[in-house]
Amino acid sequence: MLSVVERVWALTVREVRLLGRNRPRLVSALAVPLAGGIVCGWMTRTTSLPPVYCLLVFLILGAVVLSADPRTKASRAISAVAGRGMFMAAWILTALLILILQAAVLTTCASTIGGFEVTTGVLAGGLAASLAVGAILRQILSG
Amino acid sequence: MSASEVQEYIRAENLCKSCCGSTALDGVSITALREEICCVFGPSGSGKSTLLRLLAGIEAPDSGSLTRSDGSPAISFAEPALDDSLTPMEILNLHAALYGIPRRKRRGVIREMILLLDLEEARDSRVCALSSGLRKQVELARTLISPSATLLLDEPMSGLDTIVRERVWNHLMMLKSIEHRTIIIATARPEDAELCDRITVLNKGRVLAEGTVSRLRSMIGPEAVVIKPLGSRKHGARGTWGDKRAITMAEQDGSLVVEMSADSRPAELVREISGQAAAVRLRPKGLDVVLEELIARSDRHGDAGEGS
Repeated sequence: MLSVVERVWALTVREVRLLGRNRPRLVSALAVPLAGGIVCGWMTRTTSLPPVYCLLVFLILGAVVLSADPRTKASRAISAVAGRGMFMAAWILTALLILILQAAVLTTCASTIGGFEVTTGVLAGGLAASLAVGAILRQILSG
Repeated sequence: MSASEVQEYIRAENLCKSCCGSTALDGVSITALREEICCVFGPSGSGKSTLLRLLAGIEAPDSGSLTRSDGSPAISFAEPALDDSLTPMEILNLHAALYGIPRRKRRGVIREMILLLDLEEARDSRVCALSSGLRKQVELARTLISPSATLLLDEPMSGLDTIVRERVWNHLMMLKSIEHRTIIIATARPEDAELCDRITVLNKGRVLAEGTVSRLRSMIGPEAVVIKPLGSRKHGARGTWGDKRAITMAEQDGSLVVEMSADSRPAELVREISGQAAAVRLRPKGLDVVLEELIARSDRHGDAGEGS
């Protein structure tokens, strides 16, 4: 069990390093949720559609998970050693770590601007935009 | 179960694989024994890399059977499969963790690989900044740290300089004899194939021949007869031996090198000249010549079965 945890963690460290050293992905991880958050914060003030945001988040999360197919040569080589399941687990863990970080930043920004509704709107919109662009970028960069 | 079956680490029978409509492997059978370095030898496009990917379990064959005695083998690809933005140290640390090498041993194992493959200066540079030769060395290092009982190495020595190549060969011999590992090397380089215990010759996805280096050479015959004539008979010897179906005769360091034609009988020549020569020896053919001859035979007969 310890060995599995250690392997997943080693793969997660790899994913974080790859993200940190890839400028387009890094910029998108920071800029896209902020842009999405601003748009959705404004929409939450003018409309009232929070369930749609939730649905969007789940749909896009599904797309992200599907997009985690190891396609680069290096990923295929690592997948052959570690196994596809462990590889996927590490990628999902990385995505969750990034989402938590983004959510913390967005919540702090939104709560200083508006109330509860604005905060949830900003959070949902920002994370959805981030996931969508992240998924697309991952497909393009790993292709 | 017989003793030979116990010793078999990988056994593949009648493997077939098609890629994009063309046949990459057509009924290939290969067996690798414990404590053995096997070679899959053939020209580019013969199906060597495809065979290794099937043996590694990365791809599934269209048909045929494959059995492995241990878990997954470690594989090194002909073209390095490395993350460009990571450093060799990060890659080796990652793979050491994935191979389950205990944390306390990891540092020593990685250090050994860094020294073996001469990666000391490049260890903290990103892969994208490394030359193709260094990338190849990192690719090899990440495979050789594996404790797996079977190693599959695709063109392991291409791009390596002579010193590193020699070191890697010594390391492979050590892994074979001391750690009792099974190593399968796919290569188009005869100088590497000659160092292996057993060779499977592959062309156009089919096995042309299989055996030790000496067996493969014996299938073709010697390349040349090297004759050291008795000093006084040197001039006459050229005339006497020149018509013994030799292709060419050349002088080399005081000896006559008689290259033989395909249908000549070197033994006959040796018998005839024994009284006139100070020394006679047969120079064996290189594996590149053996490969060419096997391919030519297979093309002539339209049959890629084991060379007859």
